[in-house]
Amino acid sequence: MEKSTRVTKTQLGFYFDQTRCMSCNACTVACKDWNQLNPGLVNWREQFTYEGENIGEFFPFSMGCNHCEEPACLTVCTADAISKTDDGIVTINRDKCINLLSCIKACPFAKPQIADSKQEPNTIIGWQIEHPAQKCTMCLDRLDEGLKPACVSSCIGRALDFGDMAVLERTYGGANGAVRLNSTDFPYVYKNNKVDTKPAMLVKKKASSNLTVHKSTSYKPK
Amino acid sequence: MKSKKLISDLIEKVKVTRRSFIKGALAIGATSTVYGCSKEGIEIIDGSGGSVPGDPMSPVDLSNAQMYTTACGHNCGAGTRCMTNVHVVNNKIVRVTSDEDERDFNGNLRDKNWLNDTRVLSCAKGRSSKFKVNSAVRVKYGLKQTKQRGDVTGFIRMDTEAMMKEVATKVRSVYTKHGVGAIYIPKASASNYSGTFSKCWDAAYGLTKYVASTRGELNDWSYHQINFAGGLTGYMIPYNGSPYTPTIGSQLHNIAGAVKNAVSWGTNTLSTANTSAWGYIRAMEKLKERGGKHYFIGPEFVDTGVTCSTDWVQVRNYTDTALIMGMFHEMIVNTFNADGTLKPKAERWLDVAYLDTMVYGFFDSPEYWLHIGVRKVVEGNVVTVPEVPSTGEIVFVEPATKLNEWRYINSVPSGRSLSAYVMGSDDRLTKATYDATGETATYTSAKFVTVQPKRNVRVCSYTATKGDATEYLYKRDFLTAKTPEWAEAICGTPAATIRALAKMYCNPAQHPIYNDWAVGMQKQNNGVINIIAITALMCVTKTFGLKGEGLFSSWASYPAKWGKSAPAGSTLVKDFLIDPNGPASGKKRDRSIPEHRPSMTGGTSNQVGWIASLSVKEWFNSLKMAHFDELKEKLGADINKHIPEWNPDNDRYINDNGGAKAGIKYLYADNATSGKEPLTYKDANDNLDYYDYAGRNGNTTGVDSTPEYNGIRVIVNPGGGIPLNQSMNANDTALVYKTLEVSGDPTDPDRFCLVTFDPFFSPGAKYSDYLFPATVHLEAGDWTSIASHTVYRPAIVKAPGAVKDGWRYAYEALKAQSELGQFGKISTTGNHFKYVGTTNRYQPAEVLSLKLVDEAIKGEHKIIKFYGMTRNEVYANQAIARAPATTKEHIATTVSLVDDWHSWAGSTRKIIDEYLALDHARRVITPFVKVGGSSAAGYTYITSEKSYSRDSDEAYHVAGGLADRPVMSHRFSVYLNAVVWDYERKYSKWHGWLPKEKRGQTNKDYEGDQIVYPIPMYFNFEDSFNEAYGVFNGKPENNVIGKNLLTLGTTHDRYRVHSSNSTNAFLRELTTRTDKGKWLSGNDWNEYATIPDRHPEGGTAPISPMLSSAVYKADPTTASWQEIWMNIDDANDRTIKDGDLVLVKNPIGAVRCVARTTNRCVRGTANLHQGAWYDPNPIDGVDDGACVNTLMSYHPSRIDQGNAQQSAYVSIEKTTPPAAKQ
Repeated sequence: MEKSTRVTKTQLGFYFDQTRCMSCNACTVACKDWNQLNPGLVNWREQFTYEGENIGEFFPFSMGCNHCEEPACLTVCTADAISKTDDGIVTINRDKCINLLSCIKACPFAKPQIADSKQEPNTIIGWQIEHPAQKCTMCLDRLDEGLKPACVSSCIGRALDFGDMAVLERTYGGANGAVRLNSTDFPYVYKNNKVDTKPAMLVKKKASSNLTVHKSTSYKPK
Repeated sequence: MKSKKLISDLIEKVKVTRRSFIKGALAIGATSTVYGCSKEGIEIIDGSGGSVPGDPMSPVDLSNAQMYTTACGHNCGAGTRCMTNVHVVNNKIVRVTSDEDERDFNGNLRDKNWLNDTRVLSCAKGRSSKFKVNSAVRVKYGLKQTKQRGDVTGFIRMDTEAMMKEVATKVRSVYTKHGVGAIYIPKASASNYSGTFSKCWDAAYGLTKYVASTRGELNDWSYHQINFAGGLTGYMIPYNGSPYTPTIGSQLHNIAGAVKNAVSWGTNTLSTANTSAWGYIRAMEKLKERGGKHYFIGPEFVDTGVTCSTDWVQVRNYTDTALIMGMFHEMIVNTFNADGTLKPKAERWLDVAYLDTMVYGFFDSPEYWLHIGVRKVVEGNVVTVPEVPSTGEIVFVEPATKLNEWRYINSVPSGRSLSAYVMGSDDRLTKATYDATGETATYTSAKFVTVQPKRNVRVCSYTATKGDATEYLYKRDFLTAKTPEWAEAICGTPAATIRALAKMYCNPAQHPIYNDWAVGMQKQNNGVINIIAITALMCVTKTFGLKGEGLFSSWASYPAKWGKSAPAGSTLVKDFLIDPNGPASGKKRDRSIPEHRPSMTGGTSNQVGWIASLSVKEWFNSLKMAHFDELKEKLGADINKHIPEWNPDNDRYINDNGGAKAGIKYLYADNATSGKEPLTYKDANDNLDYYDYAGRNGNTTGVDSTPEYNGIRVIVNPGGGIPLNQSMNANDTALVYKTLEVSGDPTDPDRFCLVTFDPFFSPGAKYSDYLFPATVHLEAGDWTSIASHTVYRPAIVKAPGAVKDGWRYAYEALKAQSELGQFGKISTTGNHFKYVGTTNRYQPAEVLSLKLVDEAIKGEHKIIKFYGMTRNEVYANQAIARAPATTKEHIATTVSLVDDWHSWAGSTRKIIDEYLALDHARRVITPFVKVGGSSAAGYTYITSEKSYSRDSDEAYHVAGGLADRPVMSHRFSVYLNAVVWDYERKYSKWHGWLPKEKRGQTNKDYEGDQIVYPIPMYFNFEDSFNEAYGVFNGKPENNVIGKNLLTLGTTHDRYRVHSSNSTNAFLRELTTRTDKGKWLSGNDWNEYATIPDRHPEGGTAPISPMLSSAVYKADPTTASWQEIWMNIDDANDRTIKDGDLVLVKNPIGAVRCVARTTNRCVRGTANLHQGAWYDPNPIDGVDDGACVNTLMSYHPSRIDQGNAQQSAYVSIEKTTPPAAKQ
């Protein structure tokens, strides 16, 4: 099977407003809750607040799979377990996963993950291994019902959105300031490598200059 | 895949349907068939295991999920909640979602850029209900302790009705011998907010208060200091004048539309009050779009700061008042030259004419009488007391006639005003004079000139008894000018920033300023002082009465709450059941509950009026008083092991304030009207009446008196962690519980008894004598108000084991008391307990819920929308009707809430502005008493004098009674002599058993100087810790000075609220880590808590003495620890890396936790978030649960005697996990 990335009719993606995320983790819990993930290591969506070297550089981030236009995971999976839908959603067929782990290493963001037996105590008929790789599906079942992904619907700060990337670009990009996820502006989300896979994610970046820190200057323990 | 077209539609039109929740929601991971039963054989805890009904880990077919609409179970917003949709399959919660409709209830579109999307969405807490209901730590059966409190092997399973009878018997035994004061219900908001039928509050009342009453609490446990400090200065918010009105939500439009700058004094609204979070974010965006700034002033840069702030002003814990004093200094030197003359008007920061007119105590001032007139009284249509308008006249000699029309205003003595303290030895204000005729002259200043020309008669005159030899740092600074540099050395905030803040507050162009303050900040040793200082800052800088200005705690306002709201015109709620909280305010409580409970008459709540309330902190001292002899015999020297402040050889109480020393046995008689009435006697010292007590034996002086202590003998805890986890000094509390004999024979009135209703095997539950398994709110039927629409639902899932809801427990409590028979004399007016019913007409909550639903289906109660539906259709259609979509953004700047001329504060501001703009020589009438009104509205008092006392007038027992109390100034007050007067006399009527000089609260520290002063003054935190750790009381080795310790904050964790979610699996993995710093924490969630019903048959398996068996087993693959946040540089100094296991300790206790190194903590500070469960390791006693209260002393907060749970000074060092257990 040809492993090159094919062009899809549409490319669905996420939008994230870094200036509005309040690090509440409603998105990550909603994700686990909707997708029936048990507590444990695997989090399809992760939220964290990155701290830069300089005091005052606090950057919240919420990210699931970026459903890249050129997904590295798909390219490297020789088991043919990963594919892309017509809407650009990257999915893993867990029945086909044979624990090659190549997807986990190839994804710049380390989004495909492997559960342990405490988190995933049940083995499903059809699986070839105990814990096949898994990741964000963009809540395909919700999309089919006309709903937004669970993370987007749960976002209290209205920091998340999703849709066709072309529409997201028109709405949030350009003069409105959001940029495609890239390793220059957001190096801290690139866990494995900085290969440009064309992630389907727009981010409204929070600038360091947004915050002035009146730093404590006279700590003198008595 | 299907419905691709629908996706496109969604993108372009954001068209969302609701039916999808009910139909066809099928999880991707559940499409294949499950084989095996993997849960079988998996060890849950201590060798037990097996399939658990409703096990949340097992996959289910989600295609037929039933959805119920309800409200979140958490009380993050003063009773307001987020709309929550709970999806259930076969009695198992499978999902929790929130409001996903296109429109909010008012028709506002779900547009992220609009302000008016009022929808509040469930946060992580609400969405993790699955693991709250199906928690590994659920208590499923009634348990009675038979060995030693805290020993889980001593619990035996017991029928709850039988337990209830024993507890009822115990309560009566104690009441009969020791009186009402020996029975106590601690505040337990976790119960009170957990649902109409689920909450166990009424069960606690059924056992006690309805029958025999209880000792009351002086304050609110959660934010008691507000009650003391919020209104003291008289500062007014725009709307209703109440400085502690918890309605940040009502201010969001103000912020968005009018406020120029916002200052958050450590507040974390986004985390603490989720219901206001979105509005807060959007409002601050609007503020910033207009060029405004959001300042966060605090030691931990919380999520609200990260999201909303433009400026983080770093400040060390507990030092806000020093910062404000530095600001005051800057204001003064930019107003007065060194020779006392005023700077030119254009350069002047403070409005001196305003201060003279409106602020009492900023400068020294003479005593005088102010003519305030007489307020008109109307009874019916008859004017019984005609109005006498105020003339505003000031005189300096007591008027010979019509004294009732005059208000006496105390002097502000020489060198004791706020400015005198701020300036220290700087004498410029002693050269400054009140203005008689000049540019800043006012009627008031012109009058003052005639008797006391100097603004400050002398420099700061506060002194230390021991002079330079004082060990208190703050006393050494009396004569120090509180410059910004002085403040910087204390709080770390750059002096330049302090100056900039001072300038902003004094610059009218920067007004209005919205001030948001944290409840947590108050829970410090000197927390009340912080609030007085902040409100004083706004009084002095005239930051009040404009559109959008306000001072608020971090609360919320909208939209869901446990319901009383019925559809318009409906009598549904009334008919549904007798509201267990009683009828609407203003009416007498109806305790009869005739339809659904045994009939009762009365209730005895009004008996407690003559029993001294205990402060939220002093209840524990009262417990010790009651059992002092037993504790001393068994503990010996260890009796004060964890209480350095206590010297048991000298006193029977740790601290003699806050009502604790009123914990002796008082005498009373039956009374036909009130049920009980206190007996009194005349004291030979002052001929005043004091409450009579057992053991007096004719003593009328209090000298050599030997009263009988009753203290607290029974605690009925309706929920929450208050009796252990959420009280200070957890080690000491646990030690006392363990040491005292278990309750045993319920007819024994002397042994202590702890009764707990709790869904979880929490630390408090573990140490209980009787443990009643309680429902989570979703396990009881309920009705909910969402956006003023009432939603009805049955129990969403069945409670496990023998768990019962609070409604049932209330019935069982009343039934048990009924079967024990009449208690006390029957009141002719029905004010105390009487069992009169013979027919059991009790109906379970579930029956009542379904009855209501069925009536709605029939179209009764004027409800038509459910007519003809099936029950399930009703549940599925509970979604509230939405108004038609609106089309534009709306900022309500014209509603009365923000209209400055229509609000109380606004009208006062208008009056003072007009006065200052005109002829200052005329008398000042209007700011204080608005003339010309025809009714009560004609008077606008500054309310400071009303806000302080929360106890009865009986609390102040002196000759002349309250008439001798200094009145507030009729102006904003930054000199509060009434506060000192109150403090020194509180509870004195209960203190006849003490020598005269020991009555009331002791206002002397270890050096004989005042504890409570009339002005907001900075008390060095080192002093407070040296008091708390016994340094000034014989333990110099605990001196905190020079030891490079870190001040500890204990802010609320977003994922716990208090302690109720400490073990929730979804939330636990967001707060804890392994000792290698990895996020494996979700793995230990089902290895938590040893619960007796999980003991294997025969009891042969090892039973963990710790709640966390993973920690006890020293299993590094699963055991996880609470995080502590600390500054990166502080960590480096201690060779601590992120993820290291650390030991945090001080003279009170020690905890183990994992370090999170971060720049979000100011240097010198650390933060251990509240709510982790107390879990001492039996090897070394270190609390591996890292409950922050393990590190908190019993030293109460200054002025209010409240808990100071935000105050600890700690060392932090690397450590290793406890040794592996065999």
